[in-house]
Amino acid sequence: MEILRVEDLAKIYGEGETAVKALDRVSFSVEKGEFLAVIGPSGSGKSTLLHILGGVDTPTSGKVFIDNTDIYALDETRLAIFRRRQIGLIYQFYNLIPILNVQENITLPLLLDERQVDKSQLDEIIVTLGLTDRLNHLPNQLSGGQQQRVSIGRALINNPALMLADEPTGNLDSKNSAEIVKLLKLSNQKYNQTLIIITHDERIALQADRVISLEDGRIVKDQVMRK
Amino acid sequence: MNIINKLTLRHLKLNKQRTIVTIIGVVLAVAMLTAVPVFVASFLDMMQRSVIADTGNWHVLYSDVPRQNIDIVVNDENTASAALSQDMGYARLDGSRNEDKPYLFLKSFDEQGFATYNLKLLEGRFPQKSSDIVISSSIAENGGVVYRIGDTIKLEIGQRHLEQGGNDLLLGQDHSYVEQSADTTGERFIPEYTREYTVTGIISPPSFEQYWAPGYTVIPFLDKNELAAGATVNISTAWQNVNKEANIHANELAEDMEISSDKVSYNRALLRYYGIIDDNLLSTLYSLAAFMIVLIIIGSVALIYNSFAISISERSRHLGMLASVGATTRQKRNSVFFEGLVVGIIGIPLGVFFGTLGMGITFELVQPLLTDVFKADLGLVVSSDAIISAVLLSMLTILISAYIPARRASRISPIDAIRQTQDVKLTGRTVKTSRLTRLIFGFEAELGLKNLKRHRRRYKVTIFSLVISIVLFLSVSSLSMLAQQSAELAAGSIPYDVSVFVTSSATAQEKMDFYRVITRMEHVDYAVIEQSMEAEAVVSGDLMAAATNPNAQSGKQEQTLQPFSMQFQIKAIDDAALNRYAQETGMDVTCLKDTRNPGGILFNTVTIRSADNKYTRMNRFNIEAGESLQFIHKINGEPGDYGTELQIIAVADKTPMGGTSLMDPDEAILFVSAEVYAAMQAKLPEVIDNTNVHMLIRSSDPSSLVEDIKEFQQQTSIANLIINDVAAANKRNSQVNTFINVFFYGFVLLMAAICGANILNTISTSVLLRRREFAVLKSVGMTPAGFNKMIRYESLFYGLKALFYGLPISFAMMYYFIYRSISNSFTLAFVIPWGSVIVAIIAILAMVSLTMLYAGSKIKTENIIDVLKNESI
Repeated sequence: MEILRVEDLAKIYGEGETAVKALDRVSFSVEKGEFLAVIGPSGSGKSTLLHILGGVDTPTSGKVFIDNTDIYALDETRLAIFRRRQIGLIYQFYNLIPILNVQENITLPLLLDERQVDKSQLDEIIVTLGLTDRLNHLPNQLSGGQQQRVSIGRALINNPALMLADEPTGNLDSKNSAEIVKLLKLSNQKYNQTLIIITHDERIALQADRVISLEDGRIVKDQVMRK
Repeated sequence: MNIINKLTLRHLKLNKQRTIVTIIGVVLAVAMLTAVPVFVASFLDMMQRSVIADTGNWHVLYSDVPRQNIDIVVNDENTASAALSQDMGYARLDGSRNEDKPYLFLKSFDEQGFATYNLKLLEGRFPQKSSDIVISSSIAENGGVVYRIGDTIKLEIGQRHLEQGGNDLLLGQDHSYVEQSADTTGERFIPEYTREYTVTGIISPPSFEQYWAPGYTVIPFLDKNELAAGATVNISTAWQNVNKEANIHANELAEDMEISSDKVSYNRALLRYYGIIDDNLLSTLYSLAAFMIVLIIIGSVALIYNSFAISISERSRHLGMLASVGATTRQKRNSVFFEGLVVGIIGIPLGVFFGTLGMGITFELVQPLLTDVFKADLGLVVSSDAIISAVLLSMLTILISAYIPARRASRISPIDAIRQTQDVKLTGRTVKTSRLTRLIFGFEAELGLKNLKRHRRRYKVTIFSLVISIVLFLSVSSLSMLAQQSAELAAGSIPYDVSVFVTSSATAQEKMDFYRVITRMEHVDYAVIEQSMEAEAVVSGDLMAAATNPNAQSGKQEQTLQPFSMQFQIKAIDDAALNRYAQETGMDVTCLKDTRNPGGILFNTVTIRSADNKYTRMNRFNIEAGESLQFIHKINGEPGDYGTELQIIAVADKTPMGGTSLMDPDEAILFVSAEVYAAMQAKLPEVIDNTNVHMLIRSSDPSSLVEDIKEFQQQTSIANLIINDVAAANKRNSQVNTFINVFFYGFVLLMAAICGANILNTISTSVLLRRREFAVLKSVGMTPAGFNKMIRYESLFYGLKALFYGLPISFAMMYYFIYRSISNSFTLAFVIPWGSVIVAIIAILAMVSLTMLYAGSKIKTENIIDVLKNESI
C-alpha cells in the first residue's frame, strides 16, 4: 500500500540570478512499513525534503500525498491537525518543550488534539524507550540520548502514517546513536511504522530497506537494499 | 571604548525594540520625577504671587519708625524695596449714603507704596506731590459721593475716639463704625487740622480696606523730605533673599531702629509659601510630593530592573564566552552599569525636557480653571534645584535598577554560558500547574500558565507593575469620589444659587419692596422671601429622636421623657413660595393662612455632628401632623404672656427651597404664612421691626442676575447689601476639584504608562525568547487557533493574577487609608467606585492582551523551519 507519493517536488530559495534550487523535480513513492534512508552531502537538499514531507515547510511547486491526502492543499489549521495525527517528526536537537515533563512531551500531540491518552500504549512506548523512571523529569534534567528517546516517543504516540527523522543521532555519541537507531528500527518493525530517516552515517543507511541518494536537489540513486 | 562596552552597545542596538521601550520608560520616569518638583515650585510661586496681588509685595512691616531711622531699612543689603506710608487719620465724608462708612481714611504712600500695594489706577494719575490725592472708586459707587479728577477737596483731618470704661480709645480701620446705642455712647470724631488736596486719580478699592472698615481709602503722597522732625512712618519691606536668616535679620534691624518687637509684623500669608513659617499646607504639599516620588521610583525601578535583567539573561552567553577568555568579575559587572549609563545619557535629558514641557502644557490647559480661584496665573517655574533633584533621583533610580543585574552578571561563569543557565535551574515544581487548569481551560491554557511560571522573578515583577497601576488608579478614584461626597455633605448641598440680604437699615416694608422687584427679574427661576423670628416651645421628650434629645444622654427612660425648651425659628415665606410649598407637602394653602387656627409646616430633617466629629442626617422629631406646640417669646430675656399655639399641619423633609439639611442642630424651623406670622407679631407688646428678611433665589444665570441686582440697587436707597453667589462659589470649588483631578489622574496615567512599558518589555521578550518552542509546537501540530488560545490564556492569567492581588489591595487602601481618614469627619457609607473598578479590569486585560497579541503576531507568521534552523545551537 502506498503511503507517500511525491510528485515533481521543487523548492527554490531566492529569486533570479541568486536563486538556489534546493530540490529539483523530485518524485518518488513509499510503501507502508518501509524504512527509507535519505543520504547525501551537506546542501544536497535532504533536510528540505524531509521538512516538506513533514508539512512544516512549503514547496515552491509539486505535490505531496500522504495516505492519499494532498497535504499542501490543506489550509493552515487542517495541515496542523494533519501533522499532529499523521506525522511524527524527530529532530537532531530533540526540540522538546522545556516546561513540560517527559510524559507531557511525549503525549503533546494527543494533548493538542484533546484526545485521551491510551494508557497501555503509553506504557508500552515508555518501557520500550527505557524512560520509566524519568516520566516527571523536565528535558533539562535528561541526557542527550534520553531527550532524543523522548522525542521518538512523541513521534510514536499517535501511530502516525509517517515518521520522519532528521539526523536523529547527529548530536549523540556512538553508544547512544546505536541505541537510538535500534529503537527506530524496532518501532518500524514492531508497529509497522513507515520511517524516513536522514543521515550521512553510512552504517545507519545500510540498515534501511531502501536508500535514496540526493545531490544538488536531485535523486541520483534509488536503491532497494532488502524487501 | 573597551570590547565589553562595545559588545554591550551592539547588543542594545540589536534589541532595538526593547532598548527603545526601556528608554521610553526612563524618559517617562524622569519626566515625572521632573514634573513633581517643577509643579511644587510653580505652585508655590503662583501662591506667592497670588498673595502678593492680595496683600501687596512686602514681607515685613515696621510701624512707627522715627524719621531719622528710615535709612537703616532702606539701605540694608537685604532690602529689595521699602515703601513708606503713614496712617494720617479720618475725615468726614459728608453725604455718604452708607451709614456704616461715614469717613474718608487717609493713608499716605511714597512712590514705592503704590507699587508695593498693587494699587490699580482706574483713571487719572498717581499723586506726585503732597497736595495730590487719589481716591477709591467705592466713594462714588458705594457712598454715593462723587468727586472728579481736578476737584479740590478740603479735609478736616482727625481721629475717631471711643469712651470705654473711662478710657479714651483711638479707633482704626479694623474697628467698624460704632453707633450710639443703649450700651454705648458711640464714637466721636475730633478733627485736628485741615488740608486741601487736588484729586489726581481714582483707584479701585485697595485690598487692605475691609468691607466693614468705616472709612473709604484716599491716598495722598508721602514726601520723605517734608516729614516733620518727630514724625514716624511705617515701612513695608520686601526682602532680597527670602529665608529664615532674613527673618532673624529683620528683628535685628528693628532693634537698630529703636522700635519694639510689637511694631514689627510679618506678612504671614505670604511667608508661609516660602516655608519660613511652619505651615500645614506646605508640609502636606511636601509629603505628598515625597510620596509621589517614592511611587515613581518604585514603578520605574521595576521597569528598568526588569529590562536589565532580561538583557543580562540574553547576554549571558556573550558574558560567559568573555569570561572564558579572561573577562574579570568587575568587567562583567560594569557592562551592566555601562548599559545603565547609555540608557541614562539618552533618557535623562529627554525626560527633563518632556517633564518640563508637559508641565508647561498642562499649566496652559488648566489655567482657565483657576482664573476665579487664584489671583495669579499658574506659570512654569523651572528652578535649578528642581532639575538637579530630578536628575539625581533619576540617576539613583537607574543605579538601583542596575545593581542586582550587575551582580548577577559578575557571577556568570563560562560553564553557565554553555549550559544556558535558566533552563538548567528549571525544576518540575516551578512549572507545576493544577490538573483543573487543563480540565477547565484546555491544554493550551495550561501551557500558557506554565509559561508564566517559568521565569518566576520576571513574572512577579510584571504582576507587581500591574498591581501598582491598579492600586494607584483605584485609590485616586476613590479619594476623588469620597472627597466630593464629603464636600457635598459638609456644604449641605446648598439648594439655591444666590442669596440676597439687605444689611443697611431700612423698614421691613422697604426691604420687602426691594425683594419683590428682584423676584420679577429676568434670570430668576424660583425665589423665596423669608422673614424669621425666634420663638421657644416646650417639647415633650417622647417627641424627639434619641440623637437630638438632650435628655436622652443619661440613658434613663424617665429622664428621656422629660419635656424641655427648644429654640425655633418661625419663618414666613411669601405667598407664591407658600403655594408651592403647600402643594409639595400635600396641603391646602387656605388652612395655612387661617389665623384663628394658626399652624405651619415643620421642617424635620437635621444634620447632626456627633462627639467624634461625624456628620449624620436624620429626622429631628418623632412628630405627626396634627400635634400642637405652644410657642412663647422672650422679651429682654423674660417670658411674657404673648404666646401662640401653633398646629403642625404637615411635616416636611425639605425646605421651600428644596434644602434637606441645616447645619444648626439646636434650632428647629417652622414655616408659616405671612398672615400667621403677622398675627403672631401682633400679640407682642412692641412690634420688633424685623431686620431678618432675606431672599433665596434659584437662577439659570446667577452671574447676570447678580449684576442686575447690583444695578437695581444703585437706583434705590438701599446702600448695603450682601449678595452671596453660591453658584460662583460652587463653580470655584468644582474647578479646584477638576484641577486636582487633572494632576492626580495625570500622575496615574503616567504611572500606568511606565508599568505598561514594563509589561510590553517583559511579555514581548518572553514571547520572542520562546520562538523555537512555538515552532516545535507548531511542527507537532498546534493549529493557529490553538496558538492564539495559548497566547490569550497566558495574557488572561497575567491579568487575572494582577487583579487577584490588585483589587483586594486597592479595596484595603480605599477602606483603611482613604475612607478611614475621611470618615473621621463625615459619616459616609463606604462605597467602592465600581465604575472605576470596571475600568481598571478592562484596562488591565486590554493592556496585557494587546501586548501579547503584538508579540504573538510577530511570531505567528514566521516559518517554522527558519526558526528551528536559526535557533539551533
